[in-house]
Amino acid sequence: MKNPRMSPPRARRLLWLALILFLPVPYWAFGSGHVPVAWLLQLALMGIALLVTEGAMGPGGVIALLFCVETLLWLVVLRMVATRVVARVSRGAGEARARALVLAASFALMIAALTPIYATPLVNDGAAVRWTSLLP
Amino acid sequence: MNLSVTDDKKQPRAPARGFALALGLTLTVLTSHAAATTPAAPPFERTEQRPACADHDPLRQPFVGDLHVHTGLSLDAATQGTRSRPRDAYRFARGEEIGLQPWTPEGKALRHARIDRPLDFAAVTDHSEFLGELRTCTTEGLPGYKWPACVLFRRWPALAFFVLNSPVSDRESPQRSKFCGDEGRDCKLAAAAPWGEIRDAAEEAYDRSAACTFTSFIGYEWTAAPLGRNLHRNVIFRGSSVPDLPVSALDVGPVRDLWSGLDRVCRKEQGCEWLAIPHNSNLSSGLLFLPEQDDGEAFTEAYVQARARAEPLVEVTQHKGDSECRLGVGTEDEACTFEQLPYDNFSAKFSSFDAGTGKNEPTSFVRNALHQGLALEKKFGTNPFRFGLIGSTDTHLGTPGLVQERGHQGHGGAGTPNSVRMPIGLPDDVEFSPGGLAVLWAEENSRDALFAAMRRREAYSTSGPRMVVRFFGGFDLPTDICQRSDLVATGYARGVPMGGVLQAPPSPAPGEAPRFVVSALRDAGTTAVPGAPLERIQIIKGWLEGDTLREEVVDLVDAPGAQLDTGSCTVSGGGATALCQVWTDPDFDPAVKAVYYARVLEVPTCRWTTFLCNDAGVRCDEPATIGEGFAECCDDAFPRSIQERALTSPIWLDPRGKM
Repeated sequence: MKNPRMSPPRARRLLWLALILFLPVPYWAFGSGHVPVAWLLQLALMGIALLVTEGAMGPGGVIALLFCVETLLWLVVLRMVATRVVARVSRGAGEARARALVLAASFALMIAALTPIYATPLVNDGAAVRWTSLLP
Repeated sequence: MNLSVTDDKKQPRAPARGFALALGLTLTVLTSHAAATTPAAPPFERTEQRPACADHDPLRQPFVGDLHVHTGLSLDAATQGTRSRPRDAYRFARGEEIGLQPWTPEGKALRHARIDRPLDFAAVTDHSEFLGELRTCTTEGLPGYKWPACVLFRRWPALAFFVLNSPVSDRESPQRSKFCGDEGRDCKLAAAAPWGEIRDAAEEAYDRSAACTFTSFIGYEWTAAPLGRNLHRNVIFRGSSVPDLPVSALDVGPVRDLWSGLDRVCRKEQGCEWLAIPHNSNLSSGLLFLPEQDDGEAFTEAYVQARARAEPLVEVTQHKGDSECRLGVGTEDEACTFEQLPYDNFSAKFSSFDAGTGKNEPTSFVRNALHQGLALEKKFGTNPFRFGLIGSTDTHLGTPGLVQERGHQGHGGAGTPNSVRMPIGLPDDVEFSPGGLAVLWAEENSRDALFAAMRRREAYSTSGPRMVVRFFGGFDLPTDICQRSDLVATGYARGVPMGGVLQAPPSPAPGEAPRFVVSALRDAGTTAVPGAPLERIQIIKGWLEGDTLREEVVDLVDAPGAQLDTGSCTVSGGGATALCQVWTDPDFDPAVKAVYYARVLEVPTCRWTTFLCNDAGVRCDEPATIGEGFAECCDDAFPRSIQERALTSPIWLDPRGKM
């Protein structure tokens, strides 16, 4: 990966971002489902906003706590996944191929996100939805 | 067995409109017995200025209604996509079709509903809590509209429900959302508009003409549920004079504060009267009928008197299960398996961390409370649990009286919302049901007459079918009363009706004992869907033996032999159109307080789930036929058939004989 536009750190960040945005991960808070971490993040931010405006003792605190913990957990896990995948692919397939693979994987995730692979009781009564349906 | 249909020679009087199609000739047997010259109990007090009802019967008629109805003004209904408003609910009750969620982006309803027969009366009882919050979050420009809690409501309503609704679970100090301003001022101001809409809709729907086709009551639901244990009450106002705002669970603490709060803002001398109707004791984890106050304080004389005055009725059956009794919880009555929930409080339903305490305390059930009331009366001189029984739906779709098992579409609320997509599989949570109805015996279909019926507890509950049930008790009832054409007049003249208190003679003659008559007519149904025959009449007696509560279930009369084919949901053979029986209590002791109520059972019929599962072609022995969302069709925890029923208000036997 000599290409400065796709150095290993950049490839890692790109894959991490793609995983955050599109990979459905399980969660448990006010029901359960599988959604992108980015979606959990916006709920965590909403929980923080509720916590600030409504007070820590209310459900805003619970929402903030549950979604923040799960979001942080998944951010760390996905970061580790991205790091290991890029390192392994770079070692095994060479940097040029690794760059292509990261791009392909990110693209594949993006394409998959156009199909109904996500589900949460908070959206569409829990039925499987596309990524776009999760947008605010 | 005494199977009799009284040969009434009188011309049938026109029954209430909602009953006319359904019952036809059979209704007249119980509503227009001959010799209708004997006045019944004292006439009700007239507080309204309006034309008299053309259809007035001093021997009273059965009016069918629903006193538990939510519309899109209730937070939980709104977060489920319910758009019907109070006016829609009353239109529905009177027979018009309304649209149900899900809705298209263009605002077109994808589902519709129409009641099979209009109701005679109804009350929209939206939750008083959060009327203002909901208004604030949906009305741009109001203070608080842009607050995160309101943004959450508009973006993720299902999550917002938990956030906004959480204060009702707080026993100590329920707090409104901060966006409501100091002491909730902004939300209280905002609540004026929806409360006004509720009042206006009831006023408009009330038929004040001499035709008296429909009566609407202004009402609301008080929604306290500390730690998810249900203490809800529906508050019903007698007339158009009502408080400026409802007294909500966010404004007051324990239920005694609801009563005193209402007394402060709704004074009889100003034309305002109210009563409260508890419901879903089955979801209270035993709290609703605990022999102590809901905040742990001991009962006092003042408390039991206030409760007896405030709560003359209990809603014993509805969409979220039946609260009469539960097999194994203080009773071995085998009929106490009807529409039982697998959990005993709201938290248990929604939280996997509290997956049903499963304790099902006896104080969760109405029968136990009726019996317990005898002991409390002995202690305090007043029975706080001297209540009559009604049913209702608790619909959260604005569909009062939508109780048909066949084609049930769910009722929202705590069940499946179907808010944004058409149901896949069963349209509601499998443990729920279509709910029940309230029947009031009144002289005419007017607010004054119906409210008086509620006050004197001359009411009964049904689990949906519109069977007609009379229940009288007396020491002087003739043994051949079932064969007499003046059953009703005699019942009133020589006894007391359901809801009444029967005075035991201080020194009864040998062999003298209270005698009861129960007369029931099947629901005629409609041409498309006829009602089911009756199978059995029972009397449930409770009494105090020393300090021990006893119960006995007596089969009075039955018409066995009906066969239900759950594959086609057809019933063949057996059953009766009418049942009537007299019963004299062989164990009467004039020194003992007792309570009696009647239960009328239909022959077994298909549960709502069975209709839908059959329609979907589900055959449990062929897994390939079990489509998405229909797995519960084959869950043995839920029965294929049910026995619909009516429960009358009790008659209390009082050695002291006070009314």
